[in-house]
Amino acid sequence: MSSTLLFGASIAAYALAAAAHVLNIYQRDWERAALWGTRLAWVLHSLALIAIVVETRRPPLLSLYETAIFLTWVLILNYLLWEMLMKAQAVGTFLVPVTFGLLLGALLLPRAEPNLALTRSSGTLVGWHITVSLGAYGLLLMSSVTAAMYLLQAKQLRDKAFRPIYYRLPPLEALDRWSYRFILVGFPMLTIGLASGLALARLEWNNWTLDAKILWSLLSWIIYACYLIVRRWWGWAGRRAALWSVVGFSVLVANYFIINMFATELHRWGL
Amino acid sequence: MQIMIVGLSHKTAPVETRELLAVQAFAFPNVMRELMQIDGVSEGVILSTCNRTEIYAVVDRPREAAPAMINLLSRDKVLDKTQVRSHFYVKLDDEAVEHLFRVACGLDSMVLGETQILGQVKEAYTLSRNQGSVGKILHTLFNHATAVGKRAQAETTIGQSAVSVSYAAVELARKVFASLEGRKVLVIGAGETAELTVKHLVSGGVKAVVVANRTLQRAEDLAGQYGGIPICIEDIGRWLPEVDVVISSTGAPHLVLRRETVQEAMRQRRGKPIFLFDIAVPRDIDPEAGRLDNVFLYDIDDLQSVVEANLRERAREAKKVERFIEEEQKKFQNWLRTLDVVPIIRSLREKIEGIRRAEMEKALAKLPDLTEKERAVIEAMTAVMVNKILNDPTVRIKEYAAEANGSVYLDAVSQLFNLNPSKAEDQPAGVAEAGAKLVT
Repeated sequence: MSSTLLFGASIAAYALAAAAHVLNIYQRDWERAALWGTRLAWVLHSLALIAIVVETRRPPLLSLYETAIFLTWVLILNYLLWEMLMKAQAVGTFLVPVTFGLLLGALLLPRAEPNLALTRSSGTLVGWHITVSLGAYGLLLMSSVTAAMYLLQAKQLRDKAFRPIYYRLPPLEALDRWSYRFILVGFPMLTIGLASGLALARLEWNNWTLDAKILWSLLSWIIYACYLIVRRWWGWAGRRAALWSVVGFSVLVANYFIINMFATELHRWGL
Repeated sequence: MQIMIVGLSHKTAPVETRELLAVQAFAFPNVMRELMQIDGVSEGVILSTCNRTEIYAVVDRPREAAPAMINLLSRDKVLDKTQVRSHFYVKLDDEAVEHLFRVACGLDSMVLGETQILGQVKEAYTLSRNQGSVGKILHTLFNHATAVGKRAQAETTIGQSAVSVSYAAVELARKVFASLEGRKVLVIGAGETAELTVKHLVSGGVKAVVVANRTLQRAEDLAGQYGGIPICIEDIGRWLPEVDVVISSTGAPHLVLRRETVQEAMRQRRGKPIFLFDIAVPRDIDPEAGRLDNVFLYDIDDLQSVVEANLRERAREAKKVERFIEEEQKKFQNWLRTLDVVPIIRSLREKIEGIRRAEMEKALAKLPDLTEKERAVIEAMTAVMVNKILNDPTVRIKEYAAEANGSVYLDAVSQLFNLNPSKAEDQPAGVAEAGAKLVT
C-alpha cells in the first residue's frame, strides 16, 4: 500500500484518538478508546514509515515531510511506553492532539529530497544536521507540552476552579522540573544542529546570506539560551519559565512550517 | 431458590432508626440463629454498619420471608411499628446482586466511593460464616463482591480524592510539590483542623514542623506535640523563605501575615512555590498575597469548595466502577446458571452407569469361567467407554448453561435422554462441589 494512504489513515486514527483523549477527561468511559485509538494510530504510523522506506530504499529522514512523520512517531512511541509503565494518560491528553496537528501540517510540507550534489564531507554533515536537529525538536516539543500542562494546572490551582483534567495532571513542581530538563538536553542539540546547518551553508553555497531561515533559527536559539540564563541565574521558574518554553516552541514550529515553506530557499528542495 | 436483600440504609432511614435497628456484635449470633429458622431460608449474611443494616439471604419464598426478616430486626425495638416498614427495601436476584456489588464498591455509601465499606462487607461475611449460615451461593456471591470492590479501588481513583478539609489541604500540597518528603511546614496558632493537617503532612513525609505562637512558651508547648521547632510569632518573616507549607489558624482579629512579608520571602525563594492555608476566621493571611507569583493561598471556604470538586470527581470515576459491576454481575449470573446443570449431568451419568452395570451383570452371568483378571479388564473397558462417551456432552452442557438461552439445550438433553433431574438443593455434597468448581 502506498505510504500516503497509510499516512492518511494514521492521521484519521490520531484524530479519533485525540478526540477520545479529550472526551476521557470528562467521561471516563473513553479511557480505553483513547488508549487503543492511540496504539492503532501509531501502528498505522509505523506502517507508513516502513512504506516510505520500501518506496525510497533509504532512511525516512531526508525530506521535511519525512522528518515530521519520523519525529512524531518517536514521540508517540515514548508516550506509549510511558503510559504502559506509569499508567498515566495525562501526557497523552496533550501530546496526541499536538501530534495530530503536526501530522496534518506535515501534509503541506515538501516531499522531495534534497537535490544537493553533496561532497563526502558535507554528506556526513547533513546526517548530523538532520538527526541532531530532530532530537532537539523532539525534546523542545516535550518541554513545551509539559510547560503547557504546568500553565493549565497552575491556573486551576490559583483560580481554585478545578476542571476534570486537574485530577489527572502531575504535581506542578514535577512538570516545571521536566520542562527544564528537556531544554537542558535539547538546547545543546539545537546548538549543534544550528552550527552544522551554518557549516553546511558555508560548504555548499560558500557564503552566509541574511536568509530568513538562518535569522529565524538564530532567534529561536537566542530564546532558549535566554531561558537557561534567567532560569539559572535569576531563579525564574514556574509560570514565567513555562510561558517562555511555550513561546520558544511556537517559534520553532513557525520556523519548520512557515519559514521553510514560504520565506527561504534553503530547505525547499526540488520545488 | 432466590437471592434476597432485606435492609435499610442512610438513604431510607434517619440515623435514630438506623441506630435502633443495627445488629450489635453481642446480639449477632442470636439474630443469625433466628434468621436461619425462618421458613425457607437456607443461607444468610447480616451486614450491619452505622449507615446500613442488611440481611442477604437465599430463600425459597421471598414473599413470606421478607416480612419475617423485618419483624426479626424490629420486633424488640421501641419504634412506631406502622412506620417501620417504610424504611426497609427488599430486592431480589439480579437487583439484589447489583445492590451488594454497589455497596462493596462504595457507590451506595453516604460519602461516595469510601473504601471502609469493603472491609465491613468482608467482615460481615466472615462473621456469618462462623455462625455456619453461609452456603455455596452466598459464599460465591460475596467472593464476587469482594473482587469487584477491590477492582474499583485498584483501577479507579474513586476513593482517592479528599473529602475532608484537612486532607484536602494535604492533597493540594501534593499537587504543587512533587513529594512531601523533606519539606518544612510552618504552623501559626493552634486548632483542630490545623493539627489534623499537620498530622497528615507528617505522615506524608514532611521533615520539620515549625510552630509559631504569640508567646514562645505557648509555642514550645505546642511544638512538643510534633517534635517541632518553637518560634515567636514576630519571627515568621524570617522563617518564611525556608518553609514550603504554611498553616495559619490563630484567633487573632487582625492579619498575621502581610502581603509584603510574603513578597519578600518569595524574592528569597527564587521561584520555589509556597502553599499558604488560612483556616482561621477571621482570616490571618492577606488575601492579596495569593496574587503573587508561585504563591498558592487557600482559605477555609476555598478548601470547602475543593472538597465539593473532589466529590464531583468521585462521581466521574463511579462511571467506571459501574462498568466493573456490570461485568461482575455477568460472571456471577453465569456461575448461577451452571448450578442448574449439575443435576442434569448427575442424572445423565447415573442413567448410563446404571445401564452399564445391568448389562455387565447380564454378560458376566453368561460367562461364568472368566478369571478375576479377565473380569477386571471388561469392567475397566466398559467404565472407560461410559466416561469417554459422556465427556463431550458434559463439557458442552456446562458451556451451554453459561449462555443466555442455555436452558433450551438443558431441556433438550433432559428430553432426549428421558432424564428426571431432582432439584439442585438436595444433591449430595460431592456433586455440589463439582458445580462450584465450574466457576473458577
